[in-house]
Amino acid sequence: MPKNFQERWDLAALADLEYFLTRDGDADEEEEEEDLVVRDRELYRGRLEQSPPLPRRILLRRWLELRREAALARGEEGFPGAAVAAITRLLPLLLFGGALVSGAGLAWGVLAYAGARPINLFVALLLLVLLPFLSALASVFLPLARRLTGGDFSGPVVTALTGALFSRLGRFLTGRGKGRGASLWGSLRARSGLHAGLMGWLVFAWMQLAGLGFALGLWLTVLLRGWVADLAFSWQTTAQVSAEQVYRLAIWIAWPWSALASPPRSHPTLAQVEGSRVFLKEGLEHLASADLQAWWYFLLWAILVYAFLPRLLLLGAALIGSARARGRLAFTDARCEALLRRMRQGQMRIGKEHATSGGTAPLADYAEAPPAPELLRLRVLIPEELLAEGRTEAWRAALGEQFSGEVTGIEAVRLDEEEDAAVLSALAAEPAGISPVLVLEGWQPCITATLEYLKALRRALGRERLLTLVLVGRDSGEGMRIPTPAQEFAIWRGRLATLGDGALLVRNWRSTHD
Amino acid sequence: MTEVPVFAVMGHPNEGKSSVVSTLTEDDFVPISAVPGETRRCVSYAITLDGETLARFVDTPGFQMPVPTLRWMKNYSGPPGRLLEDFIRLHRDDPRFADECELLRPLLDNAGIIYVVDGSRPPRANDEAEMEILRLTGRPRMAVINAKSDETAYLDEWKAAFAKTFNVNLQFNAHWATFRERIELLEALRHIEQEWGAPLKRVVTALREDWNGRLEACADAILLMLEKALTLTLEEISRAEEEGERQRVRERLTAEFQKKIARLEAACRDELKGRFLHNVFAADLAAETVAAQDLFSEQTWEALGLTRKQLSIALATVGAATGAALDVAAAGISFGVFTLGAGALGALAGWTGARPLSRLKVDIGPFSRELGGCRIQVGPLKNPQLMFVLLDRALIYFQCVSNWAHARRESPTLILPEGKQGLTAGWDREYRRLFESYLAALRKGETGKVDVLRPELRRTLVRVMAEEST
Repeated sequence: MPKNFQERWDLAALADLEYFLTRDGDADEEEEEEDLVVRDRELYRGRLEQSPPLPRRILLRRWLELRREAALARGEEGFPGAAVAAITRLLPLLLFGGALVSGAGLAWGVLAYAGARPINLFVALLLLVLLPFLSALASVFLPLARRLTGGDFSGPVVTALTGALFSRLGRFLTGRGKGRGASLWGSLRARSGLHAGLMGWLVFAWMQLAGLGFALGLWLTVLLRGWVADLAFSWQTTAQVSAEQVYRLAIWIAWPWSALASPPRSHPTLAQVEGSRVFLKEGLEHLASADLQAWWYFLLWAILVYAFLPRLLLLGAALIGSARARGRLAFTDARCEALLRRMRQGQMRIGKEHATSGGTAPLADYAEAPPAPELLRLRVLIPEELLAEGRTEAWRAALGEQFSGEVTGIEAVRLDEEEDAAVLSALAAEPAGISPVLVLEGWQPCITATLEYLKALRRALGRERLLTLVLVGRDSGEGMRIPTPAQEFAIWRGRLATLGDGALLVRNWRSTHD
Repeated sequence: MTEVPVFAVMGHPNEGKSSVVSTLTEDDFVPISAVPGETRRCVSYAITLDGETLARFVDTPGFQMPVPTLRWMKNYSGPPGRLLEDFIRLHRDDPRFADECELLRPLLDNAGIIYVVDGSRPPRANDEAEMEILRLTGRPRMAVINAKSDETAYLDEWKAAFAKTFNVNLQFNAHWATFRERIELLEALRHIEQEWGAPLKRVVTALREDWNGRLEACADAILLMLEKALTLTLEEISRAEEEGERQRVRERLTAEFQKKIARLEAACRDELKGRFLHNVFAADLAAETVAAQDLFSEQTWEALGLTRKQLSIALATVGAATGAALDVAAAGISFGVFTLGAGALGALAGWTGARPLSRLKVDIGPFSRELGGCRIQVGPLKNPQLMFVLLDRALIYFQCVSNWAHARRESPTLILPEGKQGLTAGWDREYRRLFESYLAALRKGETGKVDVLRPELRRTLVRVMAEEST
């Protein structure tokens, strides 16, 4: 047992968690699902169970370590986390380096001076100061927009844009292609929504790092060129702008550093401003070199304060935001819930004894005494046609066994938001400890009306409350249901993925053990 | 009312609407998928005669929002005649109702309704809503139970549900429907709208005539294949003195002979398949059928052709019977050919006059010396059993291809009973004698007699095929 468990959730760990959860999620067959239950329960009881119980994020982090260990022991390699870690190490360096070179290149071009004509001050300020400043300002709007939308970018504008995109793509896709595309898009929305905060801050930090590199490239180049070469700046205009006005503008711009340096180190004096004005008709011979060079210090300060400093501050904010987002990771989505349930919940079996399978080690190897099973409390919604002929009690017993839980109530529904309004509002008012479960017939196609009903349920339950959807197969003839065939179950899962609902857990009906 | 009857094939997703259209219009290009909701647009398929459209069937998307659609229609307070138009106008920009707008659109053009349900499942609230929607449209309608499995427990429930909404309903398994069942469905459609009676009668008549034409064309194709196969001869002069070299020539000719017979069969099958408008169904799909086995395989000869007794009589009729041949025929099911020379080579040796090839060498000795070598000949095959095996294989293929519903896209599997599995062994003596006379005439090169026999042979084959295809 590893003693030093990693407890930090970084992007690589999240990628591996997604990888293992996706692998587990693909276990459609009943036997495979049972294998998962046994595996996770054994891991928990043998390696992870503690008193007091571990918090969810640490428990999941340790589970991930054990899964990685087990997979490595089986000779599996190439987990996505390693690639993500490499990318997150290399990409910032590349971005910073690339931006540094770009900034240096831009400054080198702007400061091209061979003595014939001074550098245009306004052009230099526009490209070397104003442009980086405005781009830094623009980048602030990303987290602001995220904060304003509460992390949900599916507003009317985005929906319209993505809808338009899909409708254009749809012209090139067949019905099945469209369906797959919508499923993929929904899955991405559902999964990325879970880590959107962390990812958002990370991307934001990379943006700032690139901006910082760019500003540094500018500043170093201006410094270097001014240090080793003769630079001359002049200003010129056709407008009725006086030297006094330009001087006042310079003072206003230099305000942030005016306390640190005084003219001409902070900004040119009025005389220097007047002396650096150019009228092309009158030639350049009468201009004093000292006046033309006076703007160099001003430009260095301006780049430092308006291009470099904002990026540095934003980078700091991004790192703080990223750390906070990491701390906020809740792991309350459907797949994590399912995993936690597999680990924490005792598997109760009633009926004829089964021979123990040869390959699986008995639970007693890991735990000394079986813990008391933690009973789930379920509120079940069942289409009223399935409840006909007084089958409510049969359903109650079957569902209790399926979930190893206690069915606190069964509601007959018509799968229509309007007609089930009372049921939905009652569900919304229930405590979060009661798990809502919707039973549907998996042999029926998943139509738009079903998806709309699930959306209505989600609205009633809130974004993060777990909703379990159980797909039952046909009637076996004795009033008992069989599981939904694997192919139909897979079709359902694909269609449900289009909802992008990360807190929707879809499971197949398990055949009854006799 | 439209001049050409148009029927919108409607229903819940994945009930087999596209399959019904595919089988009714004999179009195996109609996309059919196990994934529900693949049909997103209405697609029209027509039955035409000499370029004139006689009827149209529109494959529609399945209902996606039946209950809200029905609620809207029940609350509708506008003029009843504008119900559909207003529904589509008000919902066309709502993506949730995109399929409803699309599937109801043909009804605006006065299409009739064929409502398809999978009878192997119980009716549900959505189905009731759909049926009620169709009733509210006021269009002529018929319900079709297209059971997707053998489950029949829900048929009565469905029929009771249809009684409220549909005047006519019938069972039509789109994956197994024969020509007769297709005609029955079209006949039933005549009764849902009086004005469509005459045009649909024309459709039925045209289809029947076309079907008879197909049978005649198939009979001609089979007769042509038989004539070419039974007169096929390959020969070569071998100048080598060694027996080994002559044996090699014989083997090569035998292999070539087999290939040519196989090509003749393949051409005949292509003709049959084309007549029944099959594009997806392929001969090589018929891997499980006896018809797909190699012509010269032992299994083929055991399963097809005549019985021993029938064969003995046939040998006498065609005049190829020598005492030795009869002995061999009586001794083994497959004419002893599979014990003589390990497989097809031995078989062919047997067929070249019912003698092994080793005896041929003696016969052709003087002739071959004259040419400075040996003349080695394979064919024509005079054994009547070969003709009946070829006939059986062609008729089995015909059976498969003519009864293969265009909605079926899986590999064909034809399970035949034990013993003689072909048709010819069960024919009347009269039919067999006719073909034996034909073979005898071919052997003797009596082309006049062959021409006289051919119309009667065609009539016989058409009769046989008509029985097999309905």
